[in-house]
Amino acid sequence: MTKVKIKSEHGIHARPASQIVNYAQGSPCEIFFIKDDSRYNAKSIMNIMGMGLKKGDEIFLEVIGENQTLVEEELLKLIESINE
Amino acid sequence: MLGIFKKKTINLMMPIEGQVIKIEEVPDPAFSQKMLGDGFAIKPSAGKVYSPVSGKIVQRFPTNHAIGIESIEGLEVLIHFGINTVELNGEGFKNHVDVGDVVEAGDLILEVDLDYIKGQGKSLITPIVFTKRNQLKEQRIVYKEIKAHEKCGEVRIK
Repeated sequence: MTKVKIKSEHGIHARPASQIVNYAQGSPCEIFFIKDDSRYNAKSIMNIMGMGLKKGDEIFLEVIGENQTLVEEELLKLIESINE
Repeated sequence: MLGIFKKKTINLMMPIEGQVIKIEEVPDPAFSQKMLGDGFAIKPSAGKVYSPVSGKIVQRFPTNHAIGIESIEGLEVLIHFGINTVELNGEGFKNHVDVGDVVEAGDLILEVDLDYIKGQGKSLITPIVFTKRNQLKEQRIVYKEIKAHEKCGEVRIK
């Protein structure tokens, strides 16, 4: 599991959420965001937007499946590249 | 019976008075390119937002500009009021629901100050998106000026 801090100004609103979900849906791995002991499916727009992630929030990424380390890294890079 | 061919058709009640347009016309590629899903959009002429389906509120973004509803049939609908309206940090939005609330089609869920949003330079165009992947079999939308609470389309889901 990798810890991530949300740095984007407006958090994970619709546009960044769509980038994350599109990436996750394209991966055969199971991918979850974890916050405060709750797991959210990264392949679901409703789940991810429902987290209401704001700038400064910290979450964990959980990836299960083949190449999970690589997928975790790519997802981390994607989240850190969000700058809106 | 023929349960495996069970089709679910869900009527959509116009959530906001205005002009229904194609989702491809939304000035934001996340919506126009259907990255969040298929659907349609509305050019609002009034600021009251009503639930288009009967179901449950499943998400509400902290800035109140986006609300997610799951219909009783399981259809996922995201109402995203305006473009880049997250930048308003909740100003101009008056919320009427909480996550978990049960709603009937036509219930008031949000009130928006259109003049304020416009004054801040944000587009009022509101995408209505069906966000559950692979759920939608077909959507039939009426692309014209429609009053709130009238039928604006229907969807068939798996």
